[in-house]
Amino acid sequence: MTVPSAPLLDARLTATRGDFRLDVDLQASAGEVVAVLGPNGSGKTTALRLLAGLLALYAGHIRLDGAPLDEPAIGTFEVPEHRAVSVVFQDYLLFPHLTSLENVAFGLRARGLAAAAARTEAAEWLARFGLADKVGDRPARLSGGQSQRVALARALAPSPKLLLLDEPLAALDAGTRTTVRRDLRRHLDDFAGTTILVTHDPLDAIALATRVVILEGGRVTQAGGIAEITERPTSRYVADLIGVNLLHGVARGTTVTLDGSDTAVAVADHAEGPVHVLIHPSAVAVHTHRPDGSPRNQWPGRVTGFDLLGDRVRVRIGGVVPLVAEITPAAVAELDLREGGEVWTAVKATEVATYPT
Amino acid sequence: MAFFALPLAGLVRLASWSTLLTDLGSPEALDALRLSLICSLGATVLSVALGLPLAWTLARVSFPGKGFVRALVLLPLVLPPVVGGVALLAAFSRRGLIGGPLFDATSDGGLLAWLPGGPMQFTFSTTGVILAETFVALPFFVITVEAALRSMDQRYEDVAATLGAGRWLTFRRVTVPLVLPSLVAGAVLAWARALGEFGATITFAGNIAGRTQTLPLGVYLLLESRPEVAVALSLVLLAVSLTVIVALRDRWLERA
Repeated sequence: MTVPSAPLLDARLTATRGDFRLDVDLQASAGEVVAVLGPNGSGKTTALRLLAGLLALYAGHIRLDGAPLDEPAIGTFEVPEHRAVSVVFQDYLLFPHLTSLENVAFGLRARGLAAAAARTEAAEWLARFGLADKVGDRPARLSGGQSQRVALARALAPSPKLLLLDEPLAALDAGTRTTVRRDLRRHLDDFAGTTILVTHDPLDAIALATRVVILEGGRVTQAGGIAEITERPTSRYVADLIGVNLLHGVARGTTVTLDGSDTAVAVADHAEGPVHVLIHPSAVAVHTHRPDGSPRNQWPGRVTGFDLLGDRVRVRIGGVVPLVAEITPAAVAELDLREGGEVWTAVKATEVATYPT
Repeated sequence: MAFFALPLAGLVRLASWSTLLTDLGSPEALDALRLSLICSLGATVLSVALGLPLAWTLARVSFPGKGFVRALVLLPLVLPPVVGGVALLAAFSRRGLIGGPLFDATSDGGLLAWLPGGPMQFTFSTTGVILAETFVALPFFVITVEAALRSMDQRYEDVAATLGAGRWLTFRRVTVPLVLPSLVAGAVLAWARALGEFGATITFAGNIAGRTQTLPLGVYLLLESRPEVAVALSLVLLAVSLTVIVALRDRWLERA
């Protein structure tokens, strides 16, 4: 564990593009990998282009290692070529007319290294990435995984303080993605600077990042460690990602009144004020008739669909309290569940978790 | 089809194939060939030198009056070449807007009198031919290269910038190599246009054998006195045109 110090990257990114407004706070320390995770159109790529200097801030600031890179208030804007920031773009964008070696040497040459020295160093980088036999190859002859490694070597060669990865694995097929992700993890561990990883794939975030920032509609809806975020999701996006039922309401004692309906949910723990209500799908029981017995939380509904998840079936149920229930295929058959069929859902109070918004 | 094919067939039929080589070897023909080669290549070099920065500026920089500049560059495409020649006269003749002061400055006692070659004059000179040919050829180069610069994946330039390359380095090492095929195509087009230039040349530079009499001018003049040489020279121009079409076929013919 490194001792938390002043963040290497300290940014408040504010930009507008038409109706879209981006407003993101982002801090990251040396050696840290922060994933910016969000659906398409959430502003991830805009954030990345702002950090690289390919777009200018409307307001806010970007400071790297204490020095302002972009700060409209004091009139500072460093152009991309003067920032110690490297980018690995989504489809890598290796220069097609240059060999692997020349691609990696490009940044070193641009930063003033002599041709021979740049070539030697570029060759060392490629060797470190297991591409010693590919130095003379043009990008067209490289596989997806190899291209990704060349792009990473090219980005790291000029020793940036900040490395930006834009969907680094999206261009690969599922087969190679796992290995490339593992290699990427290893190289990021060796990197002394800060890495910001922009992705819509939660697996990338889980495998590569130490911290996650959830971006939705240009705003941060949740941020923190991965365990923290998955344990207590506060946004629909995260709840859907990890497949849990997330409801919102106002708590009084052991009763939560759900927003938008007067439905009361009995919970085990005392709480007051606005809360998130988390119900795991496996805690949702499905009945064809109104159950009698202990659960106080019983709601009528209608089956709206099924998803197969491993050896479980996720049943989507609409109604006053829309829920997803996770049951066995045998139970589906036994209950004779079909789309549009009327059912009752039941959840024990002890299975309902609440935490303040 | 016939409308395009028949005149060409007629030209081929008209040619006296047996004397073709002697016709092309005649002093008038050789002079015109040599001059055309020099002038058209000169105009191509000038078009690339002027057109590349121009195309880049039009494709990458936004500035007020850009539409006007583009219209100005493309005007020679639709302007009758004769009018172009008159316009060039107005600018570069001995009494022209630029030509006048330049002539005075390079004359005895002028500021630039030390320059070799005596008083600088474009009209009735080979330099004038190159100038006239550049005037009509430049738009072909600019239009081709600007389109290529716009349609190339400009994120490669972003990559270069994030790797520390300034504009000039990015332009030399990334942009130009990526649009090289279009650059060559534009230059070939400009060259072909320059080679066939007639109107602006005869108006601005005149028709002086060995100095301003290029192939098209030669064809026009010889059609009266020595038609067989005129036809032979026409065939040379036709062959060049066909070669250009074949060379650029990937860009145009196989696109549909």
